[in-house]
Formats: sequence, C-alpha cells, structure tokens
Amino acid sequence: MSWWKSFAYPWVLPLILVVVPLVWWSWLSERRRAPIRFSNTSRIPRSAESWSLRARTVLPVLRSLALILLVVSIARPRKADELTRIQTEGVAIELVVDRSGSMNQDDFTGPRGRKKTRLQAVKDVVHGFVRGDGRDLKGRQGDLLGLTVFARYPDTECPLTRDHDHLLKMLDKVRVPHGTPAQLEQEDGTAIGDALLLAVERIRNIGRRLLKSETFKIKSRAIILLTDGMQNSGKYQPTQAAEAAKALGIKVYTIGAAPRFQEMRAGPFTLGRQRVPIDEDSLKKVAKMTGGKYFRATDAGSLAAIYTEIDRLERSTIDEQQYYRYEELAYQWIDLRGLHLPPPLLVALILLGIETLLANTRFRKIP
Amino acid sequence: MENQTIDNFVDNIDQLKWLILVAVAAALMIYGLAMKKRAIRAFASPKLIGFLAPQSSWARQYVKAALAVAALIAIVTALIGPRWGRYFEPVQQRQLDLMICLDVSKSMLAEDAGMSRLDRAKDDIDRLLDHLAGATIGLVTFAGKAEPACPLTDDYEFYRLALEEVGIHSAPVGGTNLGDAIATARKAFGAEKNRNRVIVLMTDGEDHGGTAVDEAAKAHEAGITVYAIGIGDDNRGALVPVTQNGHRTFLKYNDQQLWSKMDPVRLQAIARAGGGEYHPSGQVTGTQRTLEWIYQQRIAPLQEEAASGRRVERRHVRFHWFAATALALLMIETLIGERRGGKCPTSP
Repeated sequence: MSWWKSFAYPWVLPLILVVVPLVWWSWLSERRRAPIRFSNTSRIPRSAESWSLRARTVLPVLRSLALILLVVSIARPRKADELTRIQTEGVAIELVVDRSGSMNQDDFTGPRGRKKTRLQAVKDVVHGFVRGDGRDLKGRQGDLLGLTVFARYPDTECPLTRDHDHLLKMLDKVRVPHGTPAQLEQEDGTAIGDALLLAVERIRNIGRRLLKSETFKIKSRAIILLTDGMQNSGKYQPTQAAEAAKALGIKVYTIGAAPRFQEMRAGPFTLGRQRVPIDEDSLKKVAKMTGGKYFRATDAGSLAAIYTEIDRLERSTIDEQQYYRYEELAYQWIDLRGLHLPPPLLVALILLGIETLLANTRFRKIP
Repeated sequence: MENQTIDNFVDNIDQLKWLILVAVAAALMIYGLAMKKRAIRAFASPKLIGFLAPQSSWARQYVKAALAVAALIAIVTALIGPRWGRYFEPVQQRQLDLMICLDVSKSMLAEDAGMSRLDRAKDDIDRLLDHLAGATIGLVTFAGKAEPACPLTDDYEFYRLALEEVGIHSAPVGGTNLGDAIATARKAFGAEKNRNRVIVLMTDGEDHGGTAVDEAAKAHEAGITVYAIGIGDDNRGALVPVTQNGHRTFLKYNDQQLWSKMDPVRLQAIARAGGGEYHPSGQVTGTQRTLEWIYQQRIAPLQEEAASGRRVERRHVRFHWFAATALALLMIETLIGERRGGKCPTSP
C-alpha cells in the first residue's frame, strides 16, 4: 500500500518544507544581529570558536526535529486495525490442467535451458501464479482458486478455496496415468470438453451461494484451461462446454502448451520430427466465445509469460481493502518490525524538553 | 439493535503524567532567565546594558517562554487522545469458517445403533450441509495421522462428493490422534483475521496421542472455538466388525474381542480447553441431530450477532487540533527574536 495512504491528511506534510527553513532562518538571522555594541573589537583576540558555540547548533536541530514530528502527527498517521480488515472482492479462477500421457514428455526448456516435462513446467508456473514469484506475479491472495485435472476423465482435485497451500499440495501430487497398458487404456486420453464442463460446474456452485453474499463479491469468474493436444475422448465438445461457460459469464483462457515440433520415437530410436497436433481452432473458438483469450506456449518461458498476462487481466483492482477501523499512531506506541517505538508526539515533547534544558543551562545565551 | 459505544472522551488519560515534564521545562526557563539576569548584572550596570545591548528585550523572552510552555501543554493534551463529536460506523459481518475433523480409525466401524459410527457421522455432516448458509466448510480425516480431505470451500456439492469417498482407508496410519487432527485443522484456516472460526471434532474419543487438550487450548488462543461430538455408545460399547480373509468377524485385541467404548471424559476436557462444548451424538430434537443442533444453537447465532445493519458509535479524533496549536505556538516562538528588529544602531 502506498505510504501516503497511511496518513489521514497527507497534504499537511509539505508544511515541513516551510517550517524547517523558518527555524534555520530565524537561527541564522539571530546570530547575525550583534548582541553587544562595542567600539572596537580589534582588541579582543579572535578566540577560536569554542566547541560550545558550534555545539549550540544542536538547539535548532532539536527544534526542527520536534516540529517535523509535530507536522507528521498533524497529518494523522494511522494503521488499519487488522481485526477489521476484510477482503470484500475477489476473483474466482478454476485451473484446468491436462495430465494425459503426452504431458510427460520432457521437451519444455526451462529458463537455463534445462529440459522439463510439460507437466512439471506447468506446475512450476502455476506455483508462481498462485504464490507470486517475486517479479511480475504478485500472487492471488484472497482470490478463490480451484484445480481440475483431466486425462480420459476429469477430476476436481481441489474445490474453489482460499486455502492455496492445499491447492498447491494437490497440484504437486498430479501424475500422468501410469501402470499396465490395460490401465493406461482406461485412464489415458484427452477429454477437454468434459474437463471444461466440470470446471464450469465448480464455479457455478459457489456462484450461486455467493451471489447474495454481502461479505464477499466475486468480481470476475475465469477458467484457465491448458492442454497439449487434441480432444480424443469424453462426451462433450469443448465448444459445447464453452456455451455453458458463456451463459454464466465465465471467461475461458485457453493455452495450447507444446513445442511446435516433437520427436517421433520408437523405443530408443528417434525417427524424426512431426508437428505437435493441437486443436488450436477449437481452443481459439472457446476463448472467443467466452470473452477470454487463446495463447500458445512453446517453452517454459512463454508459458510463464502467458500466466503473467492472465494474472494482469484478471486482477481484482481492489488493492485497497475496506478498512473499518484505524489506529491513530501519533499518540500510540508503534510496533514496527519487532521494535516498540514511542509515539511521535511523545518524542517531539521530549526533544523540546531537551532543547529547553540545554538552552537554559549549558547553551545559555547572554543577554 | 443495540449500538455499541467504543470511544470515551479521552484515549489515554494516564499520559497526563507528562505534564510533569512541562512543569520541569517551565522551571528550567525560569531558572535560565534568572541566571541570565544575574550574569548580566555582573557584567555591567542596567543603564549601561541598555546602551550596549539596546536590542535585547526581557519582555520578548518572557513571551517566548510563555509560548513554549503553552505549546508543551498543547502537546500533552494531544497525547492524551481527546475525542468528541459522535458518528456511526457500520460493522461488517464476519464470515464463518467451519472445519470438521472426522475420525476414520478402525473403531469407527463399530455398529452401535445399526449403522457404523462412521456412516452415522457422515450422515450427520451431510444433513448439516442443508442448513449451512454463508459459511465455508472443510474436512479433515484422521486416525493415527490427520489428512486434509477438503479445504475450506463454498462448494458444498464438492464437499458432499469428498465426504462420500471418506472411509477407513482415508487415513493410512492406524490408531487415533486427536491432537494431530486439531493441529491440522488449525493450519487450514487462513491468515485473514476477521472471521468466525470453529472446529468440530467427531470421534469416539479414544485418543492415543495425548496432545489433544494442548492443541485445543492453542487453537482457542488463536481465536478458534473447538466443539466435540462423541459418537458411539459409552456404556457397553460395541464390537468392531472387520473383514478378514473374506469373512466378517470382529476385531480382536490380544485374542479377545474388542469392545469399543466412547470416552466422553477426554472429549469434555478437549472441548473445555477449546472454549466450546461437548455433546454425545444423538437425536436432540425431532428433526435435529447433534451436529445440526450445535450449529443452529451455538454457531449460527455468532453470525447473527455481527449481521449487517449493526452500527457502532464512535467519537471523532481531535488530537491533531492540539498538535496544530502547538505547532503554531512554536512557530511564533521561533520567529520572535530575542532581540528587537532592525539594524544595530551605530554609535553616534
């Protein structure tokens, strides 16, 4: 949060630029006016300016600091009382991730040229999307996120929740279908339409419940659908599912995640290269129908950039949450980063006290 | 609906103690002026002083001292945090986060009243979902170790699905560790502070962990209320049916058939430490079973307390007026020179 929002009247602060120069102007012009007339000062040896004289400058310093603290106090620094801070708006995003066998191919290059599986690349990027990566992604704190994965059949691994730790744990556990060829036959496949429909249902369930909620408004609903191939199983077509999404006002962002070419392998032998078959037309249509966007990711870097862009598009602009109660900091003790700091007004009072003490004892001026 | 008043006329009346500092400062100024007078008198006679230092003025110094003392008093007045002028602030409704911890240890297979304890518990939770409104609900299953089965969510349909799939297999480690269940549930609550948080333990009470009461106390300290529902017969208990080698027999411990009894004493202690209540599971009213009843009678009213439309009466902060006065006084004090203005008149 921008620092000036911590003040009730930030426009008071420029007074410092008036007040402090005045203190110094007064101090310096005071020094210029001769206190005592003497006919001829040439006789008085020019004694070296004593320490005491130079040290006297501490007086205007103390006064300046005290006045700065006074101005800061008048501007009313305050802290939002954590107990009453509530996030009242957020975004609901259902993440849909393809976990079909082809996602296990390690033809996605990471940032340092390392090879990753497509699935691992997705997991890494989603981690950054959810938690923030310290650079472009800020994390989705306060938003409702859910996870649905699909191969031949779709499964919701995590319902829409604010418990992102749990979602990421479930994401980490996602595997491509494995086992005997018979088991693979049962499990492997790419059912994009069915997965999309299940995602729509997840959002619809909470939408109904939170529609009348006064405590939390869903500002926007979105599905981020990622696949590396073509639909080859499932009951519904992606475009059919997109109709359902459109009816509920859910935006679907579609990502085709695969390099342009993949190697054709037969055991240990590489036979050559072929174009990776992705149903881009279908994905583009789904995005267009629902007001989302289609992206193509050919490596980990472009995948990250895509999620960053979606992150920007789906940011709930509520960075300032509604605070209901403030704590005035000018006259309270402040706990900042483990330090227990005294209130600015008190410090100002003490500084003025010290100034009074010095001005009337050690640094007394005569007359 | 009653309006709550939060503020008094003064926030920290004890800060008046700083008036002592003001008194000391005033004394110092008097002392300083007295010392100056003495030094000047030692330097030259008053008439000569009037000639040598025509611009110095005692009157100004008195005025400056008075302004400074007034400013210090104004600061102390600001420090006590004065307030006046009433206004109203709306209170926002707190959302409820309800975490259910369900025992899935082997003893939950005992069939006390026709159904296995686990099935009965699942049925109770299912019925609760019909009454839940404006709350997120989560599920932790536990035996020897606890596992989060469903995070806090508004998606009650998904919750039902997750609940259906819960069984003895849901927790891999055997035994019963209530402390771990409470700790796992506590971790599932988010960081946002302004929510009503409740944990409901559904178990037959046999605890092999021993940390449950401590965990309940810790949870309570973190603002969570812990309720406990005891499932099963606490009198005779029941045998635990298991399937061994395809046959249906009863669980044995040391070659003797194990009678699993519900232990209310420990559950009462846990609920007490958690700031909640213990109730044995049963039919409380004609239509309500224990879990629903606890929700309607104890948990839901907490929501209504903070229902929207409620207002809180507050008083305006006014200290900044006093701080501004102090600033103005000090600025005047600064700008009043100790010497009268104008160039030093040269000697004739």
